[in-house]
Amino acid sequence: MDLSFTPEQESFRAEARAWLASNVPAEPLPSMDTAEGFEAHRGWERTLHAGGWSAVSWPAAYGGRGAGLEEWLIFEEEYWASGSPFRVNQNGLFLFAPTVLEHGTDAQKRRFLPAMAAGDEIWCQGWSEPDAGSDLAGLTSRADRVGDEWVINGQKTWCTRGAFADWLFGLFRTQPGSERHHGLSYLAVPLEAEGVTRRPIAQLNGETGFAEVFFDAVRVPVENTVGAEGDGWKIAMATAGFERGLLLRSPGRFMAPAARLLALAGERAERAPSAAVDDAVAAWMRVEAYRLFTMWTVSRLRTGASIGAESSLNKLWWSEMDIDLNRAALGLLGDEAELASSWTDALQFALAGPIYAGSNEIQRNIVAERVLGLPRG
Amino acid sequence: MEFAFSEEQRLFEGVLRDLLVEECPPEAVREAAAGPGVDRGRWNRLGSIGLLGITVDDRHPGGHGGTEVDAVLGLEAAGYVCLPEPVGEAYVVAALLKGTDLEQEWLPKIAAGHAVATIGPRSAVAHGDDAALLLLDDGEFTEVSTDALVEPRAGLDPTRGLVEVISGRGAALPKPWSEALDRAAFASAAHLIGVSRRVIEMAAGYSRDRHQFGKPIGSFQAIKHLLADAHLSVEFAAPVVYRAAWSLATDDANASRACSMAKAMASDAAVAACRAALQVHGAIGYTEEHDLHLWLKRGFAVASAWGDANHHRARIRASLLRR
Repeated sequence: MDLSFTPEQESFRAEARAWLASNVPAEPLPSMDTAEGFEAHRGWERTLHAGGWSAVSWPAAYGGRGAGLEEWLIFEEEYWASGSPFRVNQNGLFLFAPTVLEHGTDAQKRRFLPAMAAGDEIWCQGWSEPDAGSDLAGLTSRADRVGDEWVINGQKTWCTRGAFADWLFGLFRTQPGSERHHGLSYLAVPLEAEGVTRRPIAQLNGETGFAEVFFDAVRVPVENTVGAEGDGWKIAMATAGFERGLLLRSPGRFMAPAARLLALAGERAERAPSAAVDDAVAAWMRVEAYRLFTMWTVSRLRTGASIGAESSLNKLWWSEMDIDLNRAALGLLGDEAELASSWTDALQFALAGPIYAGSNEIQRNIVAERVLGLPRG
Repeated sequence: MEFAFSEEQRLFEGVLRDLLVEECPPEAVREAAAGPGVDRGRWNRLGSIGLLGITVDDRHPGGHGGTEVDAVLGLEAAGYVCLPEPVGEAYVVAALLKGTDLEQEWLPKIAAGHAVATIGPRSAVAHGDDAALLLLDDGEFTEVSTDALVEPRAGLDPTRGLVEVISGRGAALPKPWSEALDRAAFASAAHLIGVSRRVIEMAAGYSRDRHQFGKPIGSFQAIKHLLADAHLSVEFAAPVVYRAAWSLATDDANASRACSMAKAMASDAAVAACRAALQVHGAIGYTEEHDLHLWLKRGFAVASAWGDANHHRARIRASLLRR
């Protein structure tokens, strides 16, 4: 057992830190859930790409630098500690790309990955529909085969940054008459295609980061099917595994605010109630536990084990932890707590955590059934 | 970076666990509850299979020359079977005697399971009546006593054989009591992970077998969510305990904080697991006849011993903020 990093990994960390320090925008960018901010964040993706930092764990052929999972974790720590902007292409980079790398053809990898790494094509996820949220298998948007194209009709909702994204990856019913999780296919859809309409949905934090996406006889080539036709559910569940697991929320993403929270606790300890300082310490501990659990999982992955249903544990932990972190900060701020700040922004975003990427109620069911062996309902 | 046990460590754990399950079925725990005391035969056998000498230097007979990383899974397995005998205490005593005048005389006896050694606060020392050697808190350092006068005290968990030490001071060891606290916090945390995993397993099994309203009770979401949350707490506490093992083994600068974090999280996890398990079992889990209470009492008792979660969070706070 060895919890230390190698000298090579430490110099990788130093290299990342130095590059970020020289390149992080001096002023925060406008929110990526606005039209202006979205393009500003695309610009940042291009800057990252120019430095070779936009997709560090991909093969170089696709725009990465072939770094391992541990290096990715190190990069994420440095990234979030540097105050870098959010990753506007995160759905593509951390959800779609791993799926393509595992289930896609070489042609699809060449077509989609370099453009994604360069920030030229920004992706959103088309999963939920108005009648298919937690019960995703109830989806009805369909894609009918006509010649060598799919013709898509239907509607997706809650698409993060769907209003501005270039492409959408989603699940569509391709086998007529099929039900539930059978007969679904995983498709890549360009959102500039004729027949696509998007309508922003205002979120409680005032941003229009969500969208409804309507498909009215939208044609996409059959080549845009990832994996076999009809295998969409299986492939989507693989995405869900990544999503709940490591990639969407690295420990580094929370270590940075946890460090700021401790600093705030130190500053405010005289004025704030002792319980507020205790809450900050407890939140910091949860982040530290997340870091260790992630390292444990990474080491297991290296032995060839797969994450499986245990990725639900990851998601349950970070989503509640994120709320704890931000609430703890407000607990230290006394009368200023309700004034708008990066903490109130982050709290509002964190409130969505137990809902997206599979609600925490579903996650608990998965843990109980697939990890603990309890019978299905 | 490799945050994992080696194949050898896993193999050894498997052997130990199988032996412990055989040596310590629930009936054995029940016997210890009825008449607290160390089973000398079992203590001897635990010595011969190597459980007690893992961290004892291998120049001593019975010493394996290993570290806390080698020992932690064995400590956890002892919790899994609710072993009454003071394995955790033996580890702490052996670590504290290292480099002192008493090392030569006592470590071989402890490793072999020929002598029982224990450590604790004067008001509640586990197995103090059976121990030939007691280590106690003298205020700053560690005090050694081989002829302590003790009085048995009833405990939440009768299998712990608690005593109060009545007699006067023994000789001082050149070891600060804070080192005992760190190591005992770590050892109890490992024990608690074992206890927690066992009670969740018991509850999951019960929820598959017990039928109400025409279906197994495990098919109800309330039961699923109770056990999922308990499992979550335990699975996130375990790597924290293993990291504490590594910190002690490598003499890491933050080892003390790592031990406190292990104990805090394992204590909370054990309480959650024990409560969830009892709730899932319902009234049958509350009976003396069912085995669950043996683990419940151990879980609650050890969650409180050596500083509960609040105590250790306060320690962590002081370490992080210097206040």
